[in-house]
Amino acid sequence: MAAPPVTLCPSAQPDWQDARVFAVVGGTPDRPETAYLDQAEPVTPELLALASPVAPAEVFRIAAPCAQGACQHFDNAGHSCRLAQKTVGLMPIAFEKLPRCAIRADCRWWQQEGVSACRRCPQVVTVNFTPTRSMRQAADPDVISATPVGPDALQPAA
Amino acid sequence: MNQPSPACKPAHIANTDVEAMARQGVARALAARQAMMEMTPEEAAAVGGGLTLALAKPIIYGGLFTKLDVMNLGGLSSPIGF
Repeated sequence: MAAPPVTLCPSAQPDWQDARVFAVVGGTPDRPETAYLDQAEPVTPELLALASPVAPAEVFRIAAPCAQGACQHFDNAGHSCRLAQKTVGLMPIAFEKLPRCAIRADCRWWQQEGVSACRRCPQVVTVNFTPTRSMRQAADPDVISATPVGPDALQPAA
Repeated sequence: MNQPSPACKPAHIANTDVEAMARQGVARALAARQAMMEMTPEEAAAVGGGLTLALAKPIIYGGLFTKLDVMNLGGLSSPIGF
């Protein structure tokens, strides 16, 4: 019997259990763009070696089962992912059309925020050395609400 | 800075193209690290020693349950706050 579907975090790290690569982030430092794979691939040492000498999560988008209440971004009261909420509330739309995505059906962000999350997902870099202010705000678990930061949202944070 | 108009559709690649795409990703990531390390003369004058390195920390966009040595952050001991 097949295992029941598991809700996936689309911004996981490679050492999480059952992690799989579903996209690769190209583009430029100022404008990262994600290319989505036909099929998510299990994380292997050979695959991660392709990211050397940087961190795998600087190059790959990795999905793994959502840790729910064990994650600092999870709202236990609302049983929802605040990172997904803030991604939609703070980040600009990156693409009008949705990418074909191998994990969409099981993705926490999709299940919770729908197309609004998918339109913003391609600009996400899990380990990001040049975040915009809005990315920095969204990634900060101490920032609870998604208050837009204005037209300079794409400026790299100081 | 004005927000750029959203592009039409994100890229979609065959799994056989991962290696080539990863090379582009590594180039972008290295450029991003370099960009974060570069400071204006005013910024450089205002700080010294290890503080420059302390400023050069990435964000972690997601949960953080990972040992930092696994993350290969180029000698950075901890990401900012996340």
